[in-house]
Amino acid sequence: MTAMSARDYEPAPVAEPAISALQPRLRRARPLLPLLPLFAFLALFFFFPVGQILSLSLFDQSGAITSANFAKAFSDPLYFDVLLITFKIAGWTTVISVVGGFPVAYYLANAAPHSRNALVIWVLLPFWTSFLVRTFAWMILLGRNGAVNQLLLALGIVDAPASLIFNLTGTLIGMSHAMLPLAVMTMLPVMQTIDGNLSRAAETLGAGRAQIFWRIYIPQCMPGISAAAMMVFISSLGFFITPALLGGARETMLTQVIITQIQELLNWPAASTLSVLLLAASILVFVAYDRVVGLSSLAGGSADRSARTVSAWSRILDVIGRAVVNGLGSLCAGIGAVFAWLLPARAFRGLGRGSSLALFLIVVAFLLIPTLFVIPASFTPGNAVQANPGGFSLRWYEAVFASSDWTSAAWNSLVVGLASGAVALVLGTMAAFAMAWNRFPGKTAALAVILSPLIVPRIVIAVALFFLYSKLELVGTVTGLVIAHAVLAVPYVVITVMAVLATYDRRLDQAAAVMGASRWQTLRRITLPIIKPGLLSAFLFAFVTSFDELTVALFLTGGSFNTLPRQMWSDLLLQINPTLAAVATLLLVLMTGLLFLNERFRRSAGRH
Amino acid sequence: MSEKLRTEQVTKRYNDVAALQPTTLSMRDGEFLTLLGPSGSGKTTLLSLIAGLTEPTGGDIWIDGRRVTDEPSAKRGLGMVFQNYALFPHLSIYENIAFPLRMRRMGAAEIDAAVRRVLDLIHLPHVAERLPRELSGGQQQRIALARCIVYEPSIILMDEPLGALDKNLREHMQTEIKRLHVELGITILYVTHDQEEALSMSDRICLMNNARVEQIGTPAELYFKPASVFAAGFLGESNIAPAKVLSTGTETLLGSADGSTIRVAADAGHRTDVEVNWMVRPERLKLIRDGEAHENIRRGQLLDAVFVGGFTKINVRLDDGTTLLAKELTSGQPLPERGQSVTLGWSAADAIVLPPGA
Repeated sequence: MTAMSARDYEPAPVAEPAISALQPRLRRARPLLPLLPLFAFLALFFFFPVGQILSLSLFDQSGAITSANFAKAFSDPLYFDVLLITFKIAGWTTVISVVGGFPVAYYLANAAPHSRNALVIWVLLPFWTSFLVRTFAWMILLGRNGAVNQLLLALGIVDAPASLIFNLTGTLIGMSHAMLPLAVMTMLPVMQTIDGNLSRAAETLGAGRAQIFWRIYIPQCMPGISAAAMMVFISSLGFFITPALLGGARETMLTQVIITQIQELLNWPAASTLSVLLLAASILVFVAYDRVVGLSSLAGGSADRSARTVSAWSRILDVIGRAVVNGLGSLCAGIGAVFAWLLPARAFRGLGRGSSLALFLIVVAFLLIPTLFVIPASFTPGNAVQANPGGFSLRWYEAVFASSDWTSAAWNSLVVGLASGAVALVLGTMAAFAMAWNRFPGKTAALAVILSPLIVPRIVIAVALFFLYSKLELVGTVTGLVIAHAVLAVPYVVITVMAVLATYDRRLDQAAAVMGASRWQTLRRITLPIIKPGLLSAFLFAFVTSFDELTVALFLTGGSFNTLPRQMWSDLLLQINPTLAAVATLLLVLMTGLLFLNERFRRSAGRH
Repeated sequence: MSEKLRTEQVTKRYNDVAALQPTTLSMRDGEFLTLLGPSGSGKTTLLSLIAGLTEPTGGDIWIDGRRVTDEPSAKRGLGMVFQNYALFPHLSIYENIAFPLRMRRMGAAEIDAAVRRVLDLIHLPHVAERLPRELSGGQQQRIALARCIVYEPSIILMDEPLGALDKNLREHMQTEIKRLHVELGITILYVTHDQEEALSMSDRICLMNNARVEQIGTPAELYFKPASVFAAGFLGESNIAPAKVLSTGTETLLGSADGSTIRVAADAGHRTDVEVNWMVRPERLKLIRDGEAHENIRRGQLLDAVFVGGFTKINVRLDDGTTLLAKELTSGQPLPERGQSVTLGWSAADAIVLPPGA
């Protein structure tokens, strides 16, 4: 009866006379009304402009329909090279992030729940730190006279400074650093659900540790690993900050070319064509992933293959994957046997546990330590950015607060962040209520619509809104940027609030209704106060999304209206200076504070 | 006695699945009525229809002579105790209990007096300022009751309110709810799947199965005069076997497949040659040791005798293959050995004829 009672109850019907007179079909659709504002908002400021910008690729400069733009994109060696480089960089970033992220996710998944919560912070911290700050840190570290080269020289590993920056190495270091936390956070939920008893069962059946790992553990991790790979690959395709600042001319990615086409050449058809290619590549990866693995594993569940028809492709991949994994299992078991023969059993086991901790620490150190180098650099008394400043001065902080460029940019970022966070929170929360508490045909499609701003590369959204706003005269206005950032943040709000509502006990609402509370009273006095920590967390995430956003701001700010990331970007392109280190340090402190605040909200949300 | 609640052919369907067949039920003022049945029998559906938490597909509901079918839950003037208590986690115990009064716009002094009064009534005057999660399960249960009693609703609906408590606490709370029922004269509609709870607390039991009412009656009626094989099997233990009606009259004579006959003291109301079932409770079966006379006697082989404390369970396989369970008070006398031949006897008054089928 327990399972039944939860399902039996429906929302308390508040049947006003006007409503009961309506057709039953309309009456049933009433709980879905809160979806409308968000759908209207996305239609106006996302689907319409994106559709419009993509359609530009089908016309030539005079307005006639043509396929010449695509022909040119594929025949022009420059474009083709850029496409190839983009895929190459995204591919390598994916490999490094997944391989590097796995030991971290493994260690976290197998830690005791309490210490896991404490350790996850070390992955979340870089996750929340601005890309610009992190890229800036790498610029300090990897330069000719950077800390890394100084260390290599001192250790005698190299004779002359190695070129670590403005090439593929620098780009990949920066991009992997940016993407590793995402890989870990995508893998972790899947790996946490893996039943430890399965490995123990395999052990009782006679499998050694290596065989268990490769034949039992890894296959169960596959949904998480492939989800991480897809997320990292799609995100990497749209990158431009890291290749622009850490790469050389050879590392020009698609997004950079789109920016150039619009900002310098005003070539809309070319920019549109490249946007279509970028979007098509993202969607292709997404669809391929859904075909082979299933989107359900993105939500942390294991892909349920029994329920769906398994495509021939996924079956072939399955067979190949299994053969590889089993082969590796036997190989490692062979190598392990040699070690086991050399070492006593206890030392061998300790070695296994110790190496998983060592790998975890190495990757986490890679994630955390570079960023910390911006802090000493900000206190330099000199005029150059150095990781080891040899003195202490607050002059660069004074310079930041004295500069109206920086203070007005910070103020604008704050205002836009708060306003877009509020818009996203209101629209997203309404939609989340309708989504979480109703079953209706087309619900998956509705969710796809809501989440699509996450899937469409940001540069495409930026270009699309730029095109729309130039006609509405919204470019360079606070309103324009608030709307744009709300579009980007609203999927996060919906996901967060839906997750909170999924664990909300609706019998509390029913109890309130039985005791005489109206719908509005129930919402105001019961539901909203209880989910408040979740709402605050969602708002905070929306705020940070806006506060750290550069791509869209690059197009929609201008004149006297500037945001913090935009100001940093301009300065980074010109010349790195200690003012930037001071700003980066302030941002680091602010984001760390916000992250801990968010953790508090998250925990009290889970406490009731 | 006045009628408190009436459902008239009330129905609930989800697409093609009937969660509740048309059901007509009546409750009088001050009655304790229990909806009893297994999972999926429709008892919770009926309760939530009455509470207004689910919209009926058809039929009508009256409370205090007023038709409330189209009224929202908030306007029905009911109280409800939920299975997990549904105490508001962000409000203190005081505010939880004050909630329904605030919804009725009562004055602060009036609210305070009422909250203090019910906290005294449930013997928990000192927990007012605590949060629900700081209380034990049993205490939370009593707060849920208090929150319901405080605004004197017309009827209190209880959905498996003791389901989450352990056995001792559950028995204690049963007495507590019974005490409040008697002291305050409230009308209670109670849902449970626990037959002992239903038997010990209710004025009447409404036994439900397969989304419809199987039988309504006092606990004694349901136990001694079950109307169906399901009712006989669900309440208490029973021996049920098929048979054919041989003759009717003041006494009914049934014949088993192996030719043996069973005498039943009442007129079963069936014609001869009809296939029926007969039933006898295990505690009415006697293991005959000294050749005493019984209206029904069967011989068989002892399968096992299980000592379970106050009584002993004896399983006997009859010569025709059916197994009968007898329950005897433990006497300390030596029991027959396994495999030994034994005789079971019972009076015609203890046997009941049930209609065929489940």
